[in-house]
Amino acid sequence: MKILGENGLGKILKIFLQTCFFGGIALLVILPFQLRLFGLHLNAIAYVIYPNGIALLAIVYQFIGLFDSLKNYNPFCMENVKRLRLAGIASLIEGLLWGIDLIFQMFLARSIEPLILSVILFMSILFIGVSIALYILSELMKQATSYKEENELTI
Amino acid sequence: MIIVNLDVMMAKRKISSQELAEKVGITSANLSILKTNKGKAIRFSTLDKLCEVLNCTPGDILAYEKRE
Repeated sequence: MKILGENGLGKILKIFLQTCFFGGIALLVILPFQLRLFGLHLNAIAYVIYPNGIALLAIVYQFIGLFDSLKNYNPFCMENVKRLRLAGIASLIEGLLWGIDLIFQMFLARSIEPLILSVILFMSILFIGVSIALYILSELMKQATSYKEENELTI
Repeated sequence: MIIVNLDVMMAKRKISSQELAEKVGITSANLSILKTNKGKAIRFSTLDKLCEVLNCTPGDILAYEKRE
């Protein structure tokens, strides 16, 4: 399967991510109107959905840039190192937000629902794990970029 | 640091960049990288060809300068 290039898998994934990105923005924008439509008020839910949504959109935005470079046959560049690092930071923020949510559920909302608590704990650990993986990937990309540049500048 | 004195040798031998690139078998862009000291390494085969075309030794093309 072709991954790089104009008609490669990278382009299809980029279109998918763009749909997620713009769809996500639209969902966040229309959320207050949607709640009003169902007779609900935008209260504490906004403090959970908006920061999480923005962090997720930041991750998706960085991945759009990454797949864009795949389309241009130029995946090993310093911009991609920066993109992976930023996606890692956004993922860490997301993990911390889930952690805050867990503390809120346990101590303020006094939720004893084991399923909800374990899902929140899982999400928190998952995003922190993803952020570590992205940081390692960015370091690998940095190393690969430096090797590529050295090879290109060997005459 | 290593300094490439290719332009000095080219002036001495009265040879243009285009002609040298063609004779050595590298692109003008790569020759320009070498001339402007932007290159990170030089292959022995390229150095060998350069010395052959310019009729000189590697010491005439490359020099060492202490970093300040």
